[in-house]
Amino acid sequence: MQNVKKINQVTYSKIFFYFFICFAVSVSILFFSLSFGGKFINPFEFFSSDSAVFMSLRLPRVLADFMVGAGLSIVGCSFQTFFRNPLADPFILGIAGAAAVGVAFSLFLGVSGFIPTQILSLSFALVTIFFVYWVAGGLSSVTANSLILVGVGLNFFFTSIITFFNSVLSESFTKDLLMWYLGSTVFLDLNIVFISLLIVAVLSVILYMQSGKLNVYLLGESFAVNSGVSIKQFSLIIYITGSLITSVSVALCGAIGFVGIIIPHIVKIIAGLDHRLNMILCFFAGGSFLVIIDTFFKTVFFPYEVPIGAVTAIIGTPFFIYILRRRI
Amino acid sequence: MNIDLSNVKLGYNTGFTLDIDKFVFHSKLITGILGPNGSGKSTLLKLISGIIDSPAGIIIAGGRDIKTLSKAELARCISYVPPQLDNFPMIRVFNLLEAGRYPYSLGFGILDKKDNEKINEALEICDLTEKRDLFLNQLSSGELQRALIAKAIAQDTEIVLMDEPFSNLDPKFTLKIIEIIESIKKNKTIIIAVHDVNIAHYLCDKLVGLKSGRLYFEFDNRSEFDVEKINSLYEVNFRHMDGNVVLDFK
Repeated sequence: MQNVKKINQVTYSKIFFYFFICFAVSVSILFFSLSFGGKFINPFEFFSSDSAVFMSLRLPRVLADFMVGAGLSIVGCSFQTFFRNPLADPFILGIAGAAAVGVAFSLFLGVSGFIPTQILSLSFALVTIFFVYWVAGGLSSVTANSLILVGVGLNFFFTSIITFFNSVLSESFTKDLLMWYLGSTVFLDLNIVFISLLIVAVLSVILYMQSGKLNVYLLGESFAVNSGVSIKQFSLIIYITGSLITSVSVALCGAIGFVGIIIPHIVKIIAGLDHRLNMILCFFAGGSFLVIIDTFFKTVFFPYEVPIGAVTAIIGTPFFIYILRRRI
Repeated sequence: MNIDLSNVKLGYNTGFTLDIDKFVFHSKLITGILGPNGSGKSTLLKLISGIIDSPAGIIIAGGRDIKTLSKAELARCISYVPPQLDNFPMIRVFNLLEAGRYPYSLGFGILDKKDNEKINEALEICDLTEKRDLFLNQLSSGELQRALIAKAIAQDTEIVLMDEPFSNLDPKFTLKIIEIIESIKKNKTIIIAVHDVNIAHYLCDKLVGLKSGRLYFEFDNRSEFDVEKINSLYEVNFRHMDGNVVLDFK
């Protein structure tokens, strides 16, 4: 009798099971993706044959793909619930816009090199996070509604700055900025990618700790309060960790859309609304998805580079429509 | 647990203010709150349950000021049954009750043996054992109301606040809810915001009338029940008939 009553119930062993399966599958996908590219490298010869290509091109690229996909997807998953909006994605609070303005400034000032650009765009994003929080706190207490209002408002402001730059400055500048916006994980330094992946992973764990609260929050704010959730503290953690993950991936790889909004939807349709499980799935599915897409396009179109932000939707949307059709 | 209110004041910018000098809700009794729409019944329940932070005044539950309690501590001593759900996510009845055990968990809301017992017990009391794995949108409104009450029962608090638990229910479900409330009454402080004067008359040990945010009357026991005061509260005519209180349509 007791056993029968446990169907649909989440237990620690179920969480660990999900985690290890997802982890194992993702690691194997990552591992085999390293073989593909301009030239096939046998997995047994990763470090012996052409280690320069491997260490400075393939490994950082695959890790960056995974970091961006995993980070944006888990943030999208929590933001959709937190803002009670199926259209909420990691960029809804103006962070991508702020990072783009940072990039525009670095191009405008003629700052050369990859790292200064990233640092400038990260700083713009970080300042925006605190600015949005400060303004939202001034409206009333900081809630999902006040945050989204300020964020969306600010996003228009940034878009308008970018448009201004685009219309005033030269064509090459416009193209550079557009290419950045479409997102790319090429030519990244392995150390930087590694550190960012670590930061995103740690922040994702903090975000995942809120999964129990997100479950209760699904039923409404007053319902959550009466189930023992402190909305103030919960909102702060979701907002800050989500925004930080977004800032890191945007500053490093540009505004790669789609993963942050559609992957969470696909996962929720398949795995249900329990965040203790679907956030794990989002993290690994989002990461693996981007790795597969990027590997596929860089192999098929070699030697041409297709910006990953531009092509994720080409594969992803038909799949999403298939899932929706099957479900409805 | 008694609930002591003193100098509780809350103003909305619409001009409405809730203003209660002193009032005590006693334990082991069902107290009904009567009052016209907008008289502050729901606001009062939300203040006590900590859903609205009280800007002025002191609310003491079981000897402790609720402002000094964390939300989890508060949720372990007070449960609140909303009139309906604000959101209708695709989750199962069981998940709704799981939320009632959340304040006892370590943050992830993973249930232990005791949690499962409480949930099964609550499902049984509310006649929902069969519906445990249905999605919320598959329930009738009577079943949903019972599921919301079951969540509060699973939460196992000494104080239970109910906001209009009889709204949108047919007579049979109304009787079922009354039966459930009477069966959990022992050792609990129950406060119900209610519109139906006849139900209030039958079910509640004590009654409070609220009008424009102020106390209008208190009936400390059933014998004090005074139809005239209720008539002037609602500005209509009720009369006694065979032990029931019925509304005069003329």
